Amino acid sequence: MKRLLQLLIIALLTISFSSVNAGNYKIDDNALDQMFAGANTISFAEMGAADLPGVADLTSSATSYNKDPLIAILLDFFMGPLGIHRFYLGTEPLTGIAYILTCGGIFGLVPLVDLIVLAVNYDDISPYVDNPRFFMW
Amino acid sequence: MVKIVRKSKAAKKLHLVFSSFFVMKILIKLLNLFIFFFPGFLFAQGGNKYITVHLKNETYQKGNLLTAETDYFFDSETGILVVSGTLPENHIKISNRFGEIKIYYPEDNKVAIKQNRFYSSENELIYYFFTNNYYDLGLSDEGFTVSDTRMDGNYQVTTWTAPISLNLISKVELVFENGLPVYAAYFNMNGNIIRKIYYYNYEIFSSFTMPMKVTQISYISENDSVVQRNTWSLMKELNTPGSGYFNFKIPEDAIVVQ
Repeated sequence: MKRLLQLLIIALLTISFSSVNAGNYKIDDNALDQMFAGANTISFAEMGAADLPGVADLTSSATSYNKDPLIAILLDFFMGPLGIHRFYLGTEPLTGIAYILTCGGIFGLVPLVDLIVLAVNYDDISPYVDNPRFFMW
Repeated sequence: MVKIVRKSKAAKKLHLVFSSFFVMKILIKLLNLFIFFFPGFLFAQGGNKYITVHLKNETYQKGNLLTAETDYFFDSETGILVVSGTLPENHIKISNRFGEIKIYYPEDNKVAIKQNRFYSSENELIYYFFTNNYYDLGLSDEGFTVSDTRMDGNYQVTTWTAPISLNLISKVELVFENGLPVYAAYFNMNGNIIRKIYYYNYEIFSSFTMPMKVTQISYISENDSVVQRNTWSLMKELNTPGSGYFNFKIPEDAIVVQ
């Protein structure tokens, strides 16, 4: 009986320790549902204007070299995987669509790199304005 | 003089047991091979070579939610993927395994054409699951190398070191449960997690297993993040094209966008 009890305690400890990090690899989808349900649903056109008053019209096809690097960085922050910052900076429709449909590259590597590149080259982002390449850097 | 050795009954029985055991081992190995290759064999033979699935993407940040919906049409034999979407405007994307991509805008009758290995249909996340090739989810193709593998309870954690050329990300941790990827974490050069990806709600189909939800959290700063959830639904495996999108042809008079 004593031996059985010891084995049971060891088994319970093993199970508890084995599941210590189990929660780190799972996400609460119900919590996401609740968060999304309480969110303000916006359209694609509104996305750039949200929290960014005065943002240039993203749908405008007019070419402009007066692009604010801060806005580009913020757009990359907000919607990097959707390629919104590329639309703002000016690029081919294909490039922007590729961001959206491939989440900016495998696991969003490309928007991450875009973010760093824009931050590092904050004083002069002209090479990335109207850049047609997918990898703008 | 020939010496006839007669085996005792016990020896005969022992020989029979070992023979049976040996045969059983071979059968088990053959069965394992069959189970391993059968899904791919079935897929390659086109048991269900046409796959359609619907994707709903929800992007949340600072209380705002953007929703986009697209439909995927994948021909496993030709490797051609057709995607129909509405953001930022109505479009149809056609890509193949060679990285040739065409995006057609029906309302303007315009088409953009490009070629880059990155655009290959085989770089799509769904492709890795459709072909049961999810052991690294494309990391090795991007130059990542395995640097560590360990167990964390019931989870297998594999660490992939980024190539030197990708000097903004130090490593990626892929976590598997029961052989399926459930979690991925991207680390910057300071060792901080900058992105987490969760794969869950797995469903088993005739030739593959796929997570029907993939949620990605990107950490912008200590107090801010962007959450993206992809929900796959209406998955269908077909022997014949069930939609005109599989054979979609861009009009010959479409204006090519430079």
